[in-house]
Amino acid sequence: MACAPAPSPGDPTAEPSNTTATDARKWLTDVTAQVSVDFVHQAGAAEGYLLPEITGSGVAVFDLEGDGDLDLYWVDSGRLKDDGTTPSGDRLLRNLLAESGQLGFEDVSARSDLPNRMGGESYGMGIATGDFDRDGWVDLLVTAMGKNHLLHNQGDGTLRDVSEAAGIEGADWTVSASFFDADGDGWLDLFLGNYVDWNLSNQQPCYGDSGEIDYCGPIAYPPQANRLLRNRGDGTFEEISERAGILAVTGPTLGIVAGDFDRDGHDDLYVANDQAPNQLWRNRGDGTFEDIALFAGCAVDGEGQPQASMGIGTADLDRDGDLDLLLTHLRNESHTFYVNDGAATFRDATASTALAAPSWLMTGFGIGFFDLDRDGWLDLFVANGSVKVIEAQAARGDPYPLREPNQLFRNRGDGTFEAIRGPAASAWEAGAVSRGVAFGDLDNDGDTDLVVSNSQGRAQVLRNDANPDGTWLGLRVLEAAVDAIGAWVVVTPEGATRPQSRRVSTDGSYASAHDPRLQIGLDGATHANVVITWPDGRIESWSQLAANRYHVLDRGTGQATDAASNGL
Amino acid sequence: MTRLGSTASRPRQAVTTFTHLLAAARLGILLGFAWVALASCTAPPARELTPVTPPDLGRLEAVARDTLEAAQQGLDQALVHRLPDEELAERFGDVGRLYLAHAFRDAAANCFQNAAILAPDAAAWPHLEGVAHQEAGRLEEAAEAFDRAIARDDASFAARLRQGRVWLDAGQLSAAAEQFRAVLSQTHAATTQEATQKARAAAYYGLGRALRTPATLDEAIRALEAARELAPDANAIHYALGQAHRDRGNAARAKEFLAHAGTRRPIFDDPHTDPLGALLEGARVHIALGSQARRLGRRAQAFELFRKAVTIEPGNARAQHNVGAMLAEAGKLAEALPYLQRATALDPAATDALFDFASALAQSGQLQASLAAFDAVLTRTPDDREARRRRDAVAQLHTRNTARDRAAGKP
Repeated sequence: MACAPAPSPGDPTAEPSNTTATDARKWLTDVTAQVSVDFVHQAGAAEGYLLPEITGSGVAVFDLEGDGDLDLYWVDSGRLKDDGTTPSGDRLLRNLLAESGQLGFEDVSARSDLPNRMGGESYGMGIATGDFDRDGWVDLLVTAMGKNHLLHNQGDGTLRDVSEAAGIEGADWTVSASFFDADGDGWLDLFLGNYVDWNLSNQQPCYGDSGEIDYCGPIAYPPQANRLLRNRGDGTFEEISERAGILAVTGPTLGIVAGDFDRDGHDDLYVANDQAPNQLWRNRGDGTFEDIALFAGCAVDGEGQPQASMGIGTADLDRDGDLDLLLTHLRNESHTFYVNDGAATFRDATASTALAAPSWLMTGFGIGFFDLDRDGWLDLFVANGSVKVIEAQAARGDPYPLREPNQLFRNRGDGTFEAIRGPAASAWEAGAVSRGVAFGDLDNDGDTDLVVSNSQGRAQVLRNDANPDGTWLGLRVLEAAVDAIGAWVVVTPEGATRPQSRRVSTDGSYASAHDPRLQIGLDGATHANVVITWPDGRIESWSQLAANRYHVLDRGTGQATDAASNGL
Repeated sequence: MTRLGSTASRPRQAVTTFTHLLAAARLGILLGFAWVALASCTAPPARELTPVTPPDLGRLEAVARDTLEAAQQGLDQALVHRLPDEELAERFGDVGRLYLAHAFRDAAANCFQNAAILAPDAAAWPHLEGVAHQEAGRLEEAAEAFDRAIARDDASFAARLRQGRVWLDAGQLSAAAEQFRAVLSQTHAATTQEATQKARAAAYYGLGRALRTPATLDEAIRALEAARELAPDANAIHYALGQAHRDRGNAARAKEFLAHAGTRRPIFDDPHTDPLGALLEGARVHIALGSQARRLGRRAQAFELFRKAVTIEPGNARAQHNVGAMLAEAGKLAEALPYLQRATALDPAATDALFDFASALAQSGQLQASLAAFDAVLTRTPDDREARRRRDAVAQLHTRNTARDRAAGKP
């Protein structure tokens, strides 16, 4: 009989959970190697516990070539010092699904004009996607500490850097960004979430609870102001932060998501700050915003304490027709679930979700809701990784002792979640230092797959194998051949009493960008009715859409209708 | 500087409780304990103690490291000499306290767990074990340990308040409310004893938070109001009250409270953890804890921790800077300036200390010196807009004063 090693109570990679679903299903399968994804993120870890090393980076799933399958963009951080190392560099991977019928990726980075991570002028962070020039091809904003890069999709499978011409380069430390229509003119504007004013010369020594040298938190540095850039519609942007009112309060921002939280027809912004109150910028509809987070109940935790908010998940979790919020936080702060009452007044309902205890030991970054098992209820994935040295891992000599398991939670359908553990969980609990996670149907089988960016580690592609036989509805929602970001989609499966609502979007999570298509689990139904509220408030409906296929819903092809007749 | 996760200090760990315990177990002299999974894996345990995996002390300051190593060695000796159970419990407890004070919560929890086994009636050990788990975020283990502590001493307010907090954090609201109610029923409203009043304030506050559900809002508001009366400085209560009134539909009242909301919670005495601060060794840990206290608005506590850091290590620029900065914030500029000056001398690269020094000089009317200090800041960080703004303001004032003095015929 072999001696089992003593458990390490402080090591979350060894932590069991009592909220566990452990049946024999595969749930998610790690197919990274199988699909030829070999990206390894480099944080440029150097002497001195430099703050940017722990922030990691993001990933995007988007259709580069317009061929109907999702391609990948991985952001590498690069290096902070000229230390002789060669960064991986950002990677653009083309999905071969459309031409070969098999999910697999080909590295096409060299064909495009990707940011240079060698020089230190642009330390890579996150990514946002959106067709800013409405030419039908999805463009990318790659954020950085230093210069941001706006990569224009040329429509031929390549990206060209147009940052300078568009006027978006900047020199801030931008982590997350969101393309959204701030002024309702039909052009995607850009919100840049900036972190802190850090550079090599103002790096400070910081100490952990034991007095040991450790990474600093954000409060060691002044926060940088976020920026709102208006899309002029001619390929350029102008900064309107001051006149829009978003400079009224600042914080070290890590996460951003746009959404019409108060359902007044104008997209608002929720901003997750690290160890500072979060902001809910209500769009007044006149080009200005006001922060209503404190009264709305989503600025600080239930005790009035600012939390270290990193990632944001948003969805209509309770199926009452509005956007709820789930924020990821540091270890020793639970993730927080804010339920929206429909008028952007939130209640901290973390306790009722059973998510508090399992999140307490984790440092959550990327996050997202998706219907894992096609039962019509949104499940949850959280990418975890510490920002403080984990004592037990350091004692074992781990060179990067920040590892925490990622978590997959199944929605029980009664407002509570259970963590899925067991043998299958090894696919996602890899014990990495995860940061960005993006969601999208990579193999076009109607369920949502995941890609995870791991700091100083190998990227992961997790294929959804939870319920291949379940029925589903796939929707691509277009307005003039462009994804209708901000459209509100209500799906009622045949025979169902409560509809499911989704927002067409690509933002949220942490520094990552998602598939704008919607994958709706129908829980056995074979048809569904769909009602779309377009960003300008007009409503159209489609009846009896067949299950198990994607439908392209172009504006103007449905039945014009009004809110009352659809019970909206 | 040590690299992240460096193994440079590993050899130090050769002298550890773990190693000694293991050796002792192998020799079969360890009070008859069988160390499952450590030694033989075969003999059924007569009584199981938890192996104490020693933390990596390599990144600590030398003074703290030496203290902890000495304590570990002392415990090793005690084990080898087969001290009586109660005495051995104390030894485990002492080392556990040191570990906990220095935030080595895993090792601390294991020490307290052993102490609790060796001294089955003492409430302190499961209580401290619970604290170690609670601070490490292990809510389930913390709740279990506090349960044991309460079973050993059901009059312990601190254990119940902590247990209530654990349940709140775990989202178990009714279990939390039960603990807070127990504290309130065990204490007298009329008491004037400060410790009891603090416990009651914390209990009301916890109860108010636990009851903040749509069905029990009125009760929550009553509890929070009671907490506010007992702990008027704890402005975190204002946030909870603001939200409760908002949920009640009284927006105006909610806004009144939210306008005064802050981060100070009601605090209560914990006889088991309050003395831990005195065990801290090294300037850096005092700076770290002082920074936390400052962030939480506990300025007096923060100042004391920073000042102690200066006493322990006068050559620590960060410690000097923090004391100077807090004095300057309090308007005690004459006292602040020497600290800030020392900080800038000790670490000329610390531009934040130099910035604070420049600002304090300006506030104390030493405009020329302030300008020189701001210039030094801007030489190092030319893009520091705030430094430039302040420098320009000081320069304007200096020019105005000089002109005024000239007009008045002053030299």
